[in-house]
Amino acid sequence: MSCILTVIESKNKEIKNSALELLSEARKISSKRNLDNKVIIIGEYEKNNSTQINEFGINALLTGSTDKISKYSPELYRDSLLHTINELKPEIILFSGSAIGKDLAPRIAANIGYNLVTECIDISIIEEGYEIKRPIFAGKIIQTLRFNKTPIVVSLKSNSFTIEKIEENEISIKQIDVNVSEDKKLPILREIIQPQKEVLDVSEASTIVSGGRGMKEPENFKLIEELAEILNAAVGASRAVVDAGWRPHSEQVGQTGKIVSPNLYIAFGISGAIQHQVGMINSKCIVAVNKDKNAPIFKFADYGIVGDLFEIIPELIAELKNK
Amino acid sequence: MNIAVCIKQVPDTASQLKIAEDNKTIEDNGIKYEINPFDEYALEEALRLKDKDNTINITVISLGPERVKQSLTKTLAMGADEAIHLQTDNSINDCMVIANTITNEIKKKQYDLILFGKKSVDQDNNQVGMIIGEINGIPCISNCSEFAIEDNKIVANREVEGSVEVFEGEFPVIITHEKGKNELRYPSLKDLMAAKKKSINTIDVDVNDNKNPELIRLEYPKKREEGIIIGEDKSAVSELIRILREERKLI
Repeated sequence: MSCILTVIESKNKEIKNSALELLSEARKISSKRNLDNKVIIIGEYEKNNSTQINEFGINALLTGSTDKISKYSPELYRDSLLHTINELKPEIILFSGSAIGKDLAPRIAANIGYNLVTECIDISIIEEGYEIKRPIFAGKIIQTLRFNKTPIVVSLKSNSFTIEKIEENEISIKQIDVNVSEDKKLPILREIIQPQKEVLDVSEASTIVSGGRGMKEPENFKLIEELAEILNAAVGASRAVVDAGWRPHSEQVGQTGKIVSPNLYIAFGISGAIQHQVGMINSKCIVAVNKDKNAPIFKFADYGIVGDLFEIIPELIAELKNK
Repeated sequence: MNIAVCIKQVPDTASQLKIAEDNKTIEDNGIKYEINPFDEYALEEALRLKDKDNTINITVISLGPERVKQSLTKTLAMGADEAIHLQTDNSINDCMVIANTITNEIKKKQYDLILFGKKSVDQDNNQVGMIIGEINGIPCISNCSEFAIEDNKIVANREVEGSVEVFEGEFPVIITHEKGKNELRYPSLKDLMAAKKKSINTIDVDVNDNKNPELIRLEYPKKREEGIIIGEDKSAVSELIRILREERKLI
């Protein structure tokens, strides 16, 4: 029996949330195409830390966890994966659209001669293979691609697939070999720079509170940060305020920043230029606060308040704290 | 030191795109093309290295149809030393084809540093830099927001979710670049005029996109309905919270 191989990541020895979308999609594909549903975790992982992985109909879980690859190394991750792929010869390999998925999927595809399609938002099964939808031009257009030949490598765009669990089942867990080469020429991860306070990244958050030029001064983002903390949200920013040096580029939402689709996107003082719009238009719910009633963002926001954000944010904070 | 910067020409990010009647292509009419923004950040980093060390040679390489020359001329005006145009009849979007074609070119010279934008903003594939690294056995550090040369080594900051990974490696190396921290330079009119007289090395390449996968159709995303304005001052806040909490169950 041929198989589907899903590559998931761990963080602090637990599987990452982004994995749940992959696992849900993998289960659907495996049952429709009658494939063995195999999952591989690379990085440190302890099963006891989370049981949720049992609820996705996985047949076999392969773990490459060793402290030798607790930090990301493109070459070591690649080699461990290639070893397994050459053994299993999967018909389809799924990656997440995370930083690691984006880096690793092309390397794998290049080495095994599979086609790679990135940032997929929909996968349907056809007789000969797969039909896949993905956004291009930052989402201004959606393309549908048909793969008549398998095998393929696919990476999924985050927050595009629903998480569906089924009854728990027993999973066979197998430790795979990780060959650590000592090639001095390979780049090494020297250090990881963490922000002073752990922050949620816009690409992973289910709620984003964003600010634009209407915030007037960088200090005023304290209001955005406070509201974001109450809502357990990530802080986002428009290109204008990133270019002005008010906020780091990692927070930029838009065509030259991150393309996000959280459940809730709240925009303060952002007019909604097309480059910003394409970065957040697939949010499930958009709220806009802007004092200009003609701002383009009101054309596609679900809920708008035309008013002074310096009155509205403190009021929101006060009422939310008050419950 | 020899640096190659690979650029792609893409529709201006402000473009409103129209799907052509065949439902498979974008209408070319009225589209303004520009250098892919991430590639331009990569080029800027190369130019800044050259600002400090004039012995550095920068070659810009681009694959695409005739119109690509205009972008290559701009890079010469910005300060690149050489421009190579891998000329095709159409724009090529198949990453494997692009990677193989560029590989043929970069093999011709000993490049120490090969730069790409992290992705092109037209097809959003995010693949070519890594694939070229794999094909050629050159290490690739992707998604970097800045890098420096220290003791003949590359030190590059790779952006990941919520933190930055600092990689250190030897040359030759490939870097795919995020939006950088440095402002882009704009060539003066005088530089542009001078660049027009410089020659672009044009090489005809006979390549086409593969047919697997087959492009079935292009479509517009579902249009969002225009929503409602809840109010015009802070008195609207309680209603907003009620909607988000009770109707939409989002907070």
